[in-house]
Amino acid sequence: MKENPNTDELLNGFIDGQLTERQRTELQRLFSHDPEIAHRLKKLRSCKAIVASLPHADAPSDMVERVKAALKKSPLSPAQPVEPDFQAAPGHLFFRKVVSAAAMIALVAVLAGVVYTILAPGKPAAPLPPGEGRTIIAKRVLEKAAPALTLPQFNATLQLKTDNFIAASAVVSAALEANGLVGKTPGTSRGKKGLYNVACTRQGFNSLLLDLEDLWPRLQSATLFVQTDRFGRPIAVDAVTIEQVAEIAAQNSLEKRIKLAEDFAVLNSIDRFLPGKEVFAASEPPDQALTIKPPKPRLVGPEETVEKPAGPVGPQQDIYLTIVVETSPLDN
Amino acid sequence: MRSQTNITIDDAALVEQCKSGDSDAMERLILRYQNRVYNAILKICANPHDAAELTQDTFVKVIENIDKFRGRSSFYTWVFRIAVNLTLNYCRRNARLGIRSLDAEKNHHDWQATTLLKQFLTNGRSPDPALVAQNKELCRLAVKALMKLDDDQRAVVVLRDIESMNYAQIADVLDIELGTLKSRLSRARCKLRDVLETMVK
Repeated sequence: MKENPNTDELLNGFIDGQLTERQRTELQRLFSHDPEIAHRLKKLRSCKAIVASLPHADAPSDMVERVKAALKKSPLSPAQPVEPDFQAAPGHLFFRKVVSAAAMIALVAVLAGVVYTILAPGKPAAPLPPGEGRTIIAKRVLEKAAPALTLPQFNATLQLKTDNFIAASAVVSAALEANGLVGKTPGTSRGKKGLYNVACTRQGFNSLLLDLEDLWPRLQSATLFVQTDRFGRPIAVDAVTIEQVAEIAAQNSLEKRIKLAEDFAVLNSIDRFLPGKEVFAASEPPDQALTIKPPKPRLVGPEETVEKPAGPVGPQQDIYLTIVVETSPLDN
Repeated sequence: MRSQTNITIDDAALVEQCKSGDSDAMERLILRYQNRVYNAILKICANPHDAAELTQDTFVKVIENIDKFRGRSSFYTWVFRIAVNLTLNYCRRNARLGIRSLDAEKNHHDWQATTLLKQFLTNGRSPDPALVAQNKELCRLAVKALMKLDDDQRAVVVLRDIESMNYAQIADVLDIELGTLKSRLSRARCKLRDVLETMVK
């Protein structure tokens, strides 16, 4: 007999005892006439018996404790009603408000500082009076270059050529002596060349430059060789002014120092080929043009020097300058 | 029947006590049904650890929602409705994740167990429950056959053949029509028979 779903349902109902009396009677009559149905009934009954014979497993013995523990964690647990802490809540909320306000104020202050730093216009530089001398310019540069931070070591050679070797050497020696700088190497007698190795602080260096200021107009040429790490080749700044020397030395990084020295070298070179002409910065309008007029060295004669306090020499030395005073070819 | 009526009355009293916050009544309800609930869940999910977790979750939900229990059905079927729903959700989730019980995946069958099973199915001889319970391999085969059923079919078989619920109770627990239950149970047993016969061939 082909399996009939309705028959199977009746068979299952029969073994489960879920049939009516009439259904059971009819099914029993069917078994007696159809052994196939009877066999199917036996198989279904065996399946049911096998499943029903599976051993009973008991729950873990700590189930009550587990349920209680889970109920304690549950926010809906009636065993742990959620009641607001009326005593602590206002104080806690007030504290949070105060902390939030303080954080907001601090944030606004920081942001205001940043915005001011970015947007605030810089103080315009006071225009230089037409007749103001070189000393004032040098002082401004030197004041600006006052060491406030730890700056990189400055290694350079300053080559000063003159047609009056004796007078120039005397000025340099006097300046070094006035600033208490040691390490002088006497010039060779035959070649008329004086070599002065100076190791000093920036303060002493600035003071030395101020003392050499009057020597500059009397020189035939002044060249600064700034030592770099690039292939061991120094950057030569021809016709260098004393302000440029101070400004190059005052740069707070080697990269900036090299860049400035290269810029001065180019500008001085242009000025040399275009004597008396103004060099305008490309990014600035003509009325704010930077006028660079490197002095033409010219030796007039020795000037009296002013006694200066000795510059500090010691462990804070970061200026290493070699001053070379030599006679120009015209002096031979 | 008398004892069952008494249990029902006791359930109702305990439920009312539990609603009023009596923790002892809560404990008694848990202790009363924990083994039956755990056993049914274990037979459906075939994982003792997960069965314990699901039993715990069942009673947590029972306690949390006991105020919503209105007594339209018996507390017993209400508890089992929660338990079976949780377990079927677990099975569906695991089916999506491809997780299966390792016990159910074991493919090497004990010769003695298959012989015994074959005798049961061929001769139509009803097995001795004690004999089945003692034969672990036979039990494992039966569990494996159960796990071959669909989750809904397995739940019906477990509630009927292991928990011995009547059709009306099963329909109440599963929230299905009586006709649906009959056809589902019929298909489940036929499939179970086919699976067991395949095992002994």
